[in-house]
Amino acid sequence: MAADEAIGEREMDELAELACLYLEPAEKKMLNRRLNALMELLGKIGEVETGGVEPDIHPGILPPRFREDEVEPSLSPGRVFQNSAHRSDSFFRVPSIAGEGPGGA
Amino acid sequence: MEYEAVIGLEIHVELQTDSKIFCGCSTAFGAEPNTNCCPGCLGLPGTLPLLNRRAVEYGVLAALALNCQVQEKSIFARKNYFYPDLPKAYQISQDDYPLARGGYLEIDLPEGSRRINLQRAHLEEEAGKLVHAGDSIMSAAYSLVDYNRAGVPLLEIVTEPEITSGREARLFLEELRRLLRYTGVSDVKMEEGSLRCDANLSLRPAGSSELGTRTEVKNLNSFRAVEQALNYEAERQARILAGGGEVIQATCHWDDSCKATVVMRMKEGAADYRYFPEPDLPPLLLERSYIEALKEKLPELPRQKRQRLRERYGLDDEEAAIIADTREMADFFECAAESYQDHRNLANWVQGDLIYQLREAGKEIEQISPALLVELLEMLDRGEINRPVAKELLEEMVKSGASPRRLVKKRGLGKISGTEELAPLVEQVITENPEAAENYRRGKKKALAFLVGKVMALTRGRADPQELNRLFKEKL
Repeated sequence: MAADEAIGEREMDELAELACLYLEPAEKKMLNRRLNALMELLGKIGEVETGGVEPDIHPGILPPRFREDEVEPSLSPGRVFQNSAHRSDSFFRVPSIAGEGPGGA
Repeated sequence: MEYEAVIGLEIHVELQTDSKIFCGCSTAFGAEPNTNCCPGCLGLPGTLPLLNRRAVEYGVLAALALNCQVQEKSIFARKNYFYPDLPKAYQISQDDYPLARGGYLEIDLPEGSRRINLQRAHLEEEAGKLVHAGDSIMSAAYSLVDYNRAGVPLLEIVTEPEITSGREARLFLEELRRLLRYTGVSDVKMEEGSLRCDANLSLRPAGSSELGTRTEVKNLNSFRAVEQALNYEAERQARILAGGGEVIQATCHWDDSCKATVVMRMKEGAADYRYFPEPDLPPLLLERSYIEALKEKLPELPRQKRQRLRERYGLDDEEAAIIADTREMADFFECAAESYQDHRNLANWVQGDLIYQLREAGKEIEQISPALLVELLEMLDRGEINRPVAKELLEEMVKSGASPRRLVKKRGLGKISGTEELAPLVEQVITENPEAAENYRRGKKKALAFLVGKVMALTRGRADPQELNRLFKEKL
């Protein structure tokens, strides 16, 4: 791996962990190559002189759209659990979360 | 070495809208699990968020009440993390461009008032609610998820790290709750989770300006828990540092039954959330005129109200604080004070007996007419009833809403005075208590009080004690 590449092996491992992906060495190598190609393209964009230009956060120039605060019907329980394999009464059932993930609103 | 605590709070406030922030599902608390969910709440592909106008309005109102600078442009961003309470695997929040920046809240400490500065306030969506099967979060075999809460609008308020103790944190939260309740944007119930607080705490050598390694304390479900947990955590860190150890950046869980913090996980840095602008929502643009119009809608806030109550009605700090605790209580007091001039006496009855009776009867102050309390106090002032009877009437008045004057008539609770009515009772008591009567004649002054007490008991406290004193003295 070239020293000037943006994403090295350590960054690759970190990204895989954040994305909750287990990657085989070959997959990791392939994705690493692709990500670095992307980073190179982004690097080119980064060369453009943008000092004093306000970043465009959103592509569209849209007027703000709101909905009024009115309650609309929700899904029936049957539809809510339609695709769920793990259900306990009216709850979704998931593995215990103690000690994992960042969590919280 | 002396250490001082540096505490910053992150407060989540559920905004009291009828529907969720990005969809029309109900926000009602306590519904059957997973019944207030649509494809958006469940994170199903292809759903799009549409912003609730009232959530923005409430967020702006709260920010203005907190003296924040509301931004004309703010941006929603995706905060990415994997956790079962978050079905999309990202939370729509705000990052670099929050709804409001700065601001402050003043709290009253015994040594004077103190301004706690705020970093920011931003809008975001609630996550779902996890229920842990088993005895505790650490030993749970599995977790259950209810997505009813997912998408309820939240305002996150972040303070600067300048709170110095558990006590200060508690006072800050109490004042914040009062303020938000005044603005009407949230019901701020800690027990229902509509007001929640996480805290960051680090220690530094007293007088130093550097920040030490911090821990985050979660699961603070009451004001008392906030105070206890932060004091505990400060002591825990001080013990580590005193023993030459190093505090490790981590998230702790407050265990209220053991009164201890438990380290849950090593904390990851903020960059791990990989924030990026939410492509499904345009920037939130607010006209200055809209913000100014909302400013006009703000009610008088607790601090100003307390000051006015002190100045206008001559109340002391404590009386003003109790009466201005809620807008409704202050409105009640001021309405009664219009027609009843002894304001201190009024304040005394409101903060004491009335609040006690309301609590006993499980009633709210709005259910009581101020005119009835005035009627009661005027009857007492004119001597038509005595104090014990007034208290009895207040209890009944709060329970049934009945007029005290009518209750007196109905139950014959008026004061008994005049020789004609009292003299036979005095005679009776002397006959029934010859020993006490004899003692008084021999000069024992205490015997008089005993005899008067006997008549008071016979009349259930309605007799005029001064007149009884006079009558007994004449007789004996």
